[in-house]
This record gives sequence, C-alpha cells and structure tokens, in this order.
Amino acid sequence: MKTAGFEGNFELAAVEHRPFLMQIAVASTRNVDDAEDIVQEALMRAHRGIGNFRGDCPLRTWLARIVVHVSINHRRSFVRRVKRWTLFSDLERQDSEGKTSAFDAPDRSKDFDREAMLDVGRQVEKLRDEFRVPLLMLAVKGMTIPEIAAILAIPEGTVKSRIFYGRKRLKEALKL
Amino acid sequence: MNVDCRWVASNLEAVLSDQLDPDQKSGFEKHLNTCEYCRGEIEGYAKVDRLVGAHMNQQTARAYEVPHPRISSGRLAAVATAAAAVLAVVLWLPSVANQPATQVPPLAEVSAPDTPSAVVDIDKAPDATASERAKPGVDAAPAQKAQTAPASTADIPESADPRFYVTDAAGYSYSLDDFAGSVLVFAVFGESYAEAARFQEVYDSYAPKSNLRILGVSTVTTAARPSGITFPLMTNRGSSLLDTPAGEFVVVGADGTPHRRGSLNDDGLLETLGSALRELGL
Repeated sequence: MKTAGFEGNFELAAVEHRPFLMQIAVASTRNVDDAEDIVQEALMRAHRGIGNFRGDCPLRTWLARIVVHVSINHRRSFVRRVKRWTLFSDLERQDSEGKTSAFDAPDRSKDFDREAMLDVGRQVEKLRDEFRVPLLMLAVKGMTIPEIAAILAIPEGTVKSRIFYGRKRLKEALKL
Repeated sequence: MNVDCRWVASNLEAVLSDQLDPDQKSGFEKHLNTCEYCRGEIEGYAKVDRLVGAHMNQQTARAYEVPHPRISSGRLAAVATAAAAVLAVVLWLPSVANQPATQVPPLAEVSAPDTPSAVVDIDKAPDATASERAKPGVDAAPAQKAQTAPASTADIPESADPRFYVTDAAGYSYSLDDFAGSVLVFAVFGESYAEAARFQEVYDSYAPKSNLRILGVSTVTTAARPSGITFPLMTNRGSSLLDTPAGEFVVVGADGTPHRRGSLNDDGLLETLGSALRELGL
C-alpha cells in the first residue's frame, strides 16, 4: 500500500512495536487486564487507517496515540473480544511446547515488599487520569517528555507539571 | 544564591527536573549538603519514581498473563470461527433489515485486506498463521529484557542525535544542541561508579558557570545514584556518547565538537581539565 508516511510491512512493524504499545496500554487503561485486547484493537484500527499516517512523527508515537484513544473508549464486549482474537491473527509468542512466554522484564517489585506494592497500586489508582497517565508513561523504558507530549497531544510544559503533581500526591499519600 | 528550605519547596519542580541555572544549582547543592530535611524530600521523590517503575513492571507482567482465546488447534479455530460467524450474522441481520445497501457484515469488515501485504489473511490455515507469528514474536521479546542491561541503540528515538542523547532523572532529554554555546564536560560511568569520586572533585573544583556544564552519564539504566554525588547524573538512551567508553571523560567545545578526552583515572585529571578549559577560553 503506497501511503505518504508508511512504506513497508505493517505486520513486522506491529510486532516490533507491540511490547512498547503494551506498556502504553497498561499506563493508559484503568483496567490492566484489558491491555492486550486494547493493543489488538488499536493495531486493527491502525492497519485500517495506515493511509492516514503522514510520517510527521515516529510510527510508534502514532500507534501509541491510537492505543490511548482505544483505552479511553474501551468497552468490554464478548462479541468484540471474540472477533479480535479469532479473526485478527494475534501476535502471540509460543515456544515449542505451546506455552506462551510471559513478560520478560525483571520483576523489580521484588525490591519492595508486597504491602508497599499494594499501597502504590491503590494510590496510583486514586490519581486522576490526567496525572496518572503521564506519570506511568514516563516509567516506560526509553520514554521522554517530548514523546509523551506528542502521544497525548498536550504541551511539554503541561506534561511536566502534571507529572510533578502526580509525584507529589504519591509522595504524600505513601508518606515518603 | 542563598537557598533555604522554603526556596527548595517553592522550586521543587525545577529542582526535580534539573532545570536550575548554575547559580541556583550551586546554592541548592550547598543547602542539600547541610540540610537533612531537604535531602530526605529529594530522596522521597526518588523513591516514588522507583515504586512507580516497579508498579508498571508488575502491571505489565499481569497484562501479559491474561488468558485470551487461543488459536492453538484447527478444531478450536473452526469452532471459534463458527461461533463468531453465527454471532456476527445474528448481529448483522437487524442492520441489513434497516440499510441493506450500505451495511457490511462485521466479518467482512475485518477480513477484507486492501493489499497483498495486509496483516490479516483469513485464507491461511490458523496453525500456519500461529507459527509464522511466533517467530517474529520471539524476536520482539528481547526488547523487554534490557531493563538492567545497558540501554541499547533500539532505545533511541528516530529524531534524536545518535552521538549524544541522554535523559535526566525526571525524564527530560538532552542532546548536544541543548549545550550549544557552552562548554560541556561529561564523564561516562558503567556498572561500577569507581571513578565517581574523582569526577566529583572535578565538579567541585570547576563550579558550573553559565557557559560551562559538567555532568555524568550512566550507561546502565537501573544503576542508583551513588551516595555523596552532587553532580548531575544522566542516563544514556542508546547514543554513542561521542564513542566514549565508561571510565572516560570528554570536553566538548561551545561549537559542539569534542576538544579533549581522557581517562577519569589519570593522576593529572584536574590539571588536564584545567588546561583544556583554559584553551576553550574559560
């Protein structure tokens, strides 16, 4: 498909960016269990709309914007879920025994005790989306303030002050 | 500049994102040396960041574990496809009754690729599809692994400067252009911070001025800031750092070209730097 912005194999691009997009979905959604569904749906929509990608930002930024949009509008529905997973080939990793590999990052939560992690989870959940999402996005490996601003379509200054506010609330709530 | 606790509290956002000018910065660091309360505050924010990072890791791991319909056998796929087809037809019928000309069955909406290179190819056998997917997927997995490894070149955004691209603790990114017009002295640190104390001496000896910036760059993304260090410590994001290995420093002129390099372990480190800075007019 000749487009202004994207030339190449969409499937390969989707596989390459999927881990990043999973983290974006985890940062954006209020329910982490929906993250994979959200990414699947976002990739479906991105594929349909790839002609709209003008190449004026990195592809992963454009894909991430779609993920955030899908997260906001995500409704759980059995029919849509079956469609997503049956008709759109998923990008599942399976080893020779047919087991799916889990997320590979080292589990840094072991550095903190279970109570502390539960606390963080509760307090993060209490933050309003406008503060929670940029703060969690910043924790994504390789993420920068300018990219968060591009994904959320808000000025960098706004990203910075929202992150600061989120940090401040968490620090107070966690008594650190 | 006289910095007290009240000043720190009012300027916390700038402090945490390392946006102080050299005058404010030296005032802040002097204050930090003597003020346990402010040190505690800053450390508290660092803890928040670490907890948020751990939280994200945990949530992402959980997201990957959610079971979803698997296409692991032909029979399951056939049953699932049939079920979806039935459901789709059931939902499609009412809309056909209303607008027969324009409504498209939901199945067709997903299964009609525009081009041969489309991701979706319903005609392929599900098993073949699954195994084709597995291969690129396995390659994608290592991108997740690198959280304790040195940042790879895959981290660097397409628009960034491949020679020098670092971020500070708050996530703000810097490339050489951000230092244009100033002399930049940076040191590269690896897993161990053995040379950090020596670079701290450099930092203490050459007070940052408006046209002199001194900072350390870590090549290991999760290394914690060593104690007793007050120079700014950034993290490399996949750039070549002007091809500088850990344990060495570079003096970059105001025009962005490297002027002097050397090892942090040199006995004459301070003198070497002093003469380099003099040569650059400082």
